[in-house]
Amino acid sequence: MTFDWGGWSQFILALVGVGGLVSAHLLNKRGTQQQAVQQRAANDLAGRAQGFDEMKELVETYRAEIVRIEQGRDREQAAQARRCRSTLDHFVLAFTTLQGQVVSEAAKQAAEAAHVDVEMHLSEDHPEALA
Amino acid sequence: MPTRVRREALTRAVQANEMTQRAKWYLAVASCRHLLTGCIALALPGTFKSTSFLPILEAAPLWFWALIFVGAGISCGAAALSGHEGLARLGMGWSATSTLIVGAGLLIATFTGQLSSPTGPILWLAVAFKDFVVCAQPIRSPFEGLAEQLARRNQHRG
Repeated sequence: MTFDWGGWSQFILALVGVGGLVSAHLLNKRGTQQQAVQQRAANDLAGRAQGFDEMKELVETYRAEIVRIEQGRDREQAAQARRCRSTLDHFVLAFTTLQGQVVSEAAKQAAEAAHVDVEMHLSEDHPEALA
Repeated sequence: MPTRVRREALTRAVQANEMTQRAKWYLAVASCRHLLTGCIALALPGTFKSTSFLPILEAAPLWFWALIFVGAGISCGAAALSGHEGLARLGMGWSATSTLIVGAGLLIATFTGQLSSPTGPILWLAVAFKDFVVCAQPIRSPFEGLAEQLARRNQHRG
């Protein structure tokens, strides 16, 4: 028994063509969505990297200021600066851990706790800085 | 203050970079494949004398398939040169579908006893599915731009 492919081959090829077009359209859509997801992730990572750099510069500025005050003659101010240094060191430690483990929830919580400490320290000892 | 710095940093987004080199080369190779096949079919139709092509040629004349291939080649080539994502997606879809049809035609020839070589449908269908896989992937990779940006910054520091 032989099967006549004459008209069927045309029909099958037409069907394959339509199926191919629909598949290509759906897959292209998926590729575009995937690209958008990657773009958002890249923006997030870039934001974190940018934030890390700016934070480092800020810490260095504060540290230099603390050293300058510590070396001054005013003993009360020097004692105050040492307290600032202690808070800053605590913050830097948490921040450095966070940098090493960007996606770790524990590191994020530790950095947030350190950030709260800094804000408490500022509100208690340097209320003018928050004004 | 740290909070302000963090907020400012997060608002700065990475610009979407250009098409990846990998995507450009893939499109360029696909363009060459389609243009060569299409042009040979137009200029030398007598070379397509294998019985394997009969199911395809029964469905439509050779010049029609040649134009389909030339169109896919032009779209892929233009996308590779311009880096335009829309053209690239059009070209890849076009390429995948046209290659799939030829692969399916060769597969039909297997059942009709007209196939001259069993490697034909394997290769054509494999290339078609490869094109479909590329369709589902991002054409531009934002991570490459980010990595380049960070590498440049590190070089400046170094």
